[in-house]
Amino acid sequence: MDEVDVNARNHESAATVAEAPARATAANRRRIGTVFTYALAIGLGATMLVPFLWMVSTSLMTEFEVYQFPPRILPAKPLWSNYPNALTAAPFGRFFLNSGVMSLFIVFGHLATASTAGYAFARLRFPGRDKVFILFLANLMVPVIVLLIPRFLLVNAMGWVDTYAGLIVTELVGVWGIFLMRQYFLSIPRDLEDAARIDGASEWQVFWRVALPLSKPALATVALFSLVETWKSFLWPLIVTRSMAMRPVEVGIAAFHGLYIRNWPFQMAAAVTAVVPILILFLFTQRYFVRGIQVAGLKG
Amino acid sequence: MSRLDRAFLLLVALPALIFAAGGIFVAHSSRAALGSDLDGHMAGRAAEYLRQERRSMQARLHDSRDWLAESRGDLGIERFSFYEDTLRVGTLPLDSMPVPLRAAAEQSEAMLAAAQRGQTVLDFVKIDGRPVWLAYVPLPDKLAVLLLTPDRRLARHFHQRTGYELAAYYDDALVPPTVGDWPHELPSALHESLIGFDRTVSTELAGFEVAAAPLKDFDEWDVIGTAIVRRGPGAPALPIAPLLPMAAMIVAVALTVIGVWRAASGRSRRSHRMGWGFARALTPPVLAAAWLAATDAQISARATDTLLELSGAAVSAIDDPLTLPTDQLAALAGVDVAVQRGSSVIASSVDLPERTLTGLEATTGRLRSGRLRVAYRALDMPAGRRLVLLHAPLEDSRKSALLWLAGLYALLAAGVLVFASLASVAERGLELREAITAWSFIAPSLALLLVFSAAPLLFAFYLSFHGWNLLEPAKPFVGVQHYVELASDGLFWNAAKNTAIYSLYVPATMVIALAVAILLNRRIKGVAILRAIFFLPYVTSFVAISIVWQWLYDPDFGLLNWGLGLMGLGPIPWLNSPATALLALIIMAVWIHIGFQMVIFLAGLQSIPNEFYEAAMIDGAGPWRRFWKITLPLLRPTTFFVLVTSIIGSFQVFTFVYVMTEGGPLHATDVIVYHIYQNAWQFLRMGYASAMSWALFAVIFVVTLLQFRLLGQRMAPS
Repeated sequence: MDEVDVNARNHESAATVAEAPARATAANRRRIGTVFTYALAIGLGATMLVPFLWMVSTSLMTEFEVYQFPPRILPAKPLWSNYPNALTAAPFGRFFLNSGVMSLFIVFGHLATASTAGYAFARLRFPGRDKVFILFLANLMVPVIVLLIPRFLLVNAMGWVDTYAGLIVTELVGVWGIFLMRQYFLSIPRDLEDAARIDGASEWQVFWRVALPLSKPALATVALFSLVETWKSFLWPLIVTRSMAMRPVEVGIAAFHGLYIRNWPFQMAAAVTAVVPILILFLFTQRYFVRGIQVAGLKG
Repeated sequence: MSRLDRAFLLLVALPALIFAAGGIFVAHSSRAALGSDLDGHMAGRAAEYLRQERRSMQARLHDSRDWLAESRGDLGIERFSFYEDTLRVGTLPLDSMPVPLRAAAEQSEAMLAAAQRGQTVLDFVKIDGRPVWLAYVPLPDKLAVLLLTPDRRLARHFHQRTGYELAAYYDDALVPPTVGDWPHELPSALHESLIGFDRTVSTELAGFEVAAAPLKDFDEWDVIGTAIVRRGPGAPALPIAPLLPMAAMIVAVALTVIGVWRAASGRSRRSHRMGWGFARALTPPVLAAAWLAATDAQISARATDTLLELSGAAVSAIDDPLTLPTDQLAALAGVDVAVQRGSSVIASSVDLPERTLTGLEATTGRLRSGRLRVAYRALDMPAGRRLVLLHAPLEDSRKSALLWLAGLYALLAAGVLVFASLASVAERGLELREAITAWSFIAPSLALLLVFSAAPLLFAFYLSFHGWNLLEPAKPFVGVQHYVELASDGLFWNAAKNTAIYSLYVPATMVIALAVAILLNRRIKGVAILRAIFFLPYVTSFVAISIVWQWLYDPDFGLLNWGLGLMGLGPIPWLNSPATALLALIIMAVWIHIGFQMVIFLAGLQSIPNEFYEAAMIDGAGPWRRFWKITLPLLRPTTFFVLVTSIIGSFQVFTFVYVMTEGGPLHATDVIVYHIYQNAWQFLRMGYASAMSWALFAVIFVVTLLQFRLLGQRMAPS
């Protein structure tokens, strides 16, 4: 909500400023400007959408229609059967189940660790807090590729290769989420918590009953981001899974891609299937995404 | 019990106990692993032994054809005394044979093959539920069919030489061992579990520790059964469990607990006490860990010797092994072999540097040749020859136990540090209750980060100094060899160059993203939808996007070349040409990242106070001037942030390359992370790949430090 408010304020003042000197020319120029802005924005937006539209269109074509020049923009008759055919050519149900299980555990892990650790770093005082926090932040500097081989050897030694445990265990903590929660806790007033303490609530109760309910928007952001990041994660699931039955969606469609390399309608049907869940999620929750990126981006 | 005491128990004693339990677990499992490795090794030897004995039996039968032919009709059991268990011998005409045998022989394709090709063939059949071998020996005018049951004899022989009990299992018939008793369902269960796998397994089934290996036919082609072995009383003893270090560990942990406890409750100055307590707490586990590691190496060294001893026994189980070629000998022994006469090597299954084996004095030991360390065992053979068995020393590969301990140890150290933090709470006028809550809130994250981030980071560094192939037991220390190789590895520098070029998408995207952000920072209808559209590529599946763009880039039927064609340009080969593939990836990266950068720029724009613009407009500044003089300077922190984080992100690109180009064509899109991935998982050079990843880490580290420094300076005034 707050983000929208800020926008509104900005635009209003911008409008007042523009109306200042010569009214007639200004109004004229503004009208042209507005038309130009709309045209540009819609043009750019449409360009951004082309790959997605092309993906959907191709997914409904026959194999014959795909290999025509000049390319067909739309299929003569949408071939819906591409979807069931493509999705039964590989165990897509299993891919989605795997992604779902993986996401569920990791999102929950991120929420639990981010809220507790973030709260401790923001609110609780203990010796060595800042040093430990810097240690946590230092983690963000380490590129994942450095950790990949030793993590794999570790998971392999535990016998967790090609299991859910292997997919999940290394990803349970997100430093980024801890940072975001800390920033959020710092931004909300302490008064309620202090009041609860005076009423005799334990530290745990203060956290659970007072601070956590106040931080629902931040929790939503953390959950969304970890969900999307997990859903999109590719390299780790690629190396830690071996069997088709354990692959998450991303790795699954990459394998599918290798199997049906020239069958573009099949590939596009698979791609659409992979994109749609995130697309729906994103359309309903984009506000939290924007906020998450801005908080993490600017105060870091 | 005070709160501090409870905290102490929770935060120090608990990790210490985990540490002790981990040590015991490591010690136990390493011994168990060694034992089952040896059992598995012997199962493989047994399978090979059975195979080669049948092969030699076949050869000997073939050689005795003349003799068989001469003794027409008079082939009683006693005549084949070199196969003691041979029950019955039949000859053509088939009419004279007992009915089941005749039926079995008539159905046999092997008989047909033998008759047609004139070769001696052994075939496995079951008669009345009893497993037997039929030998078909073509004679000049007829085919001799011999009924043999050699497996009992072979099993007994194998047991005498190696101490391992051996049972062979064919399809659903068990040839029971001559010693020990085996539950009948055990071999069939093992056999079931082995079907389709070409490997040995060691397992515990129905209370028996057994190992099994697939039994191949003579051509090593089909799996015809399973060889199962069990350690008998006569088998060489396994290295003992490291009881002493285990006890030492427990004592050390107790000392830790007591030391810290006393430090925390003593009467001297608190900081002083903490220092001493810390040192006292850490010393015993360090000693214990070192001891355990040393013992572990010792046990592994003994296990190597045992392995070679067993391999030697397996070789000597067949008569006159030196008649076999060295590759068959090596298969029989399960290790590499060399045959020496005097001090010169006359045959070897492995390429040995010259003079490696000269001056071999003892019968067992280690020798070094260049970087290679080899364990050997020499067996004296007739005619002044010597058979030398060679294997990589197991002790070289058992450092992972030490690393596991190091990880646990880090946890313990963390626990002690936490306790130190808690103990100094009062000193700083803080609340103990609060501090305990805080640490218990942080502990799970901290533990996970230590185990899955901090420890792997150090482990990767360790790996980069070792040759580390997942499939090779030996992980030799190679010093800085990998880093030296890195410096002159053209493919690595090519990948580095490609990564640097790829990261050029960042400034390109920034220009567009800033323009779009300014455009969308206005009050126009549907701005939310537009922002969502721009942001969309960044949140959707990168694999799906890669596939779509690969299709867009299709040189013949892709939309992009068609569009260019309408403008009179192209066609461009895009991903198919080394000249344009990387450019194609860059264009796609721009498309993906516009939305992400735009969102950050939007936030930056909205944080610029409007008063600045108002003042500038009163001064008569035009839009361009306002952009250059106000927007851009005030956006500098944002710009800088976007630049650095995006460049760091661009260094780690992988998915697009993996899905779209696999680094090609001609390494034109081989980027660093993909190169590391290939080395680690396709070429199995994990040590070298770790060295590369640390090089990348160093670069990113420097970039990040620069960011902090520069950003710190810029942010300072505000």
